[in-house]
Amino acid sequence: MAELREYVRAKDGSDIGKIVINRDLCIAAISCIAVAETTFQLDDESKVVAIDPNAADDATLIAAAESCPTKAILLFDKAGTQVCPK
Amino acid sequence: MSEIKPSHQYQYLIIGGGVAGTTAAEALRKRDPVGTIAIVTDEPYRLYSRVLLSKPTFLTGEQHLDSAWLKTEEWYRENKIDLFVAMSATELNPEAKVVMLSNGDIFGYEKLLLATGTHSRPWYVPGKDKHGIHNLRTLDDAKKIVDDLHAGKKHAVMIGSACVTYEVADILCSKGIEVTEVMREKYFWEPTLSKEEAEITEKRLVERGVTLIPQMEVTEILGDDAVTGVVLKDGRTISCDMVFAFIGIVLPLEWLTSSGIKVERGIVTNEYLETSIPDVWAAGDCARFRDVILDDMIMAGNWMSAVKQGETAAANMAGEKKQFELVSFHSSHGFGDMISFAGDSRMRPDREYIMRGSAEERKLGRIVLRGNHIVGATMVNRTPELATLVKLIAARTDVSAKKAELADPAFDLKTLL
Repeated sequence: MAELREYVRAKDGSDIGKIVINRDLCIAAISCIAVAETTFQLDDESKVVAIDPNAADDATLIAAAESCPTKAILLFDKAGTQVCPK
Repeated sequence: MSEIKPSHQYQYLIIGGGVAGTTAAEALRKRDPVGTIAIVTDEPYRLYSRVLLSKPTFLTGEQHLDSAWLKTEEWYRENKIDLFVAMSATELNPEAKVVMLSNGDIFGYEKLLLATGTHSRPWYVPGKDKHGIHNLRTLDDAKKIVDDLHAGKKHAVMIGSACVTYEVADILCSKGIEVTEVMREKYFWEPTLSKEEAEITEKRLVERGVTLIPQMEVTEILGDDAVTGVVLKDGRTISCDMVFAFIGIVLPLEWLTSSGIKVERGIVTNEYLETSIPDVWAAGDCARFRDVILDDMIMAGNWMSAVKQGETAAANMAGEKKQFELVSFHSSHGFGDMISFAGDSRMRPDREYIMRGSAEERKLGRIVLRGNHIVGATMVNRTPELATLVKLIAARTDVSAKKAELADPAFDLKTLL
């Protein structure tokens, strides 16, 4: 099974309720960090983690997830429906 | 010239359906809800992740090939982006503002983006067309490898010594396939990594049973329909049932010659990604652009640069005046090691190289200085420092008084920001 890390997002006015990172898919291309460095960082295993799930606005977060060449970042709305990648 | 009648007319025409071209189309649509947009690609597919092709889960078949798609067919329809697949551009006529296509169509444009990427370097070795000879640039290349990895093959000869070779060697070893690596270079990763860094990965290759044959070339492929072996330049023969010919890339730019567009290895652009021809931009692997951060002409063949160049070119095609500014970075994985590259880390006489870390600990990097500034870095197993180095390059931080610290792996690079 893929190793998934979930991060609850509780940002006011945001439509996104959860960020999930699939650590098996993460290859540290770090395009997400280039787009949203306040949210994403590399950990000691060179996998991306969400250091602050509430830092970026929705548009930035979606752009960061979409920039991932391995689709390792999944975004879910408050109802639990996956909004990215579509 | 004025008699040329286009069969199709587009406000924005994009040649190349990879990540640079597709990102540009998306960015154009956000800026211009009504302008007509077309993408022409020589591949038979919509956008997929080229990065994923050399990753273990993908090539072993564990991850389905469908996971490579980055856009759905509906996405093109919903965004009114006309996608023309399996068609290549054969001529650009800038006076008439048209592009001739391989099927005889003539596409007129108001704004044109060239995002044609790279092709695999053709290999002229006798026997090169036999079954079992692989490259890895396209989804079709990957499919053939996946099939072969499920066909019980035993021994692969690999040619080339860079990112994709390292990644695929790991995958082959993990499948129990014997690997012999034949390279022109003196050591694996030459010249992108220093010898000291490369030794870490060379030792790992040998530990895992890979036979390294440096400064050598394959001169012939043996076998009837399928590969049974290769002949080396020194006359030796190696038995094998697969050959991976990672011998490099070429830029498919011959079709542009008659247009007079300025080409110096890549399509030359300014910092706005404008080419030498009005209303024509270039983005991605095919562009040789003015890099305002490095103050140099640069070609950046990696994912993030392609994404950002697509965005920047689109902004400028839509009438903005936006410079391309990004410190390029990418990384490669194999055998549990991660090799990362930032900025411009090429070996050149005007540069100074500071080694950071130790080969014994398998964590070694090389910081590249030009004058007082960091312009690039390579890192073996020091990836957590990559983001900081990218920022130091972007900020053009004067590090002339900090060279001892750069060489000290215990020193936290973040404090220089």
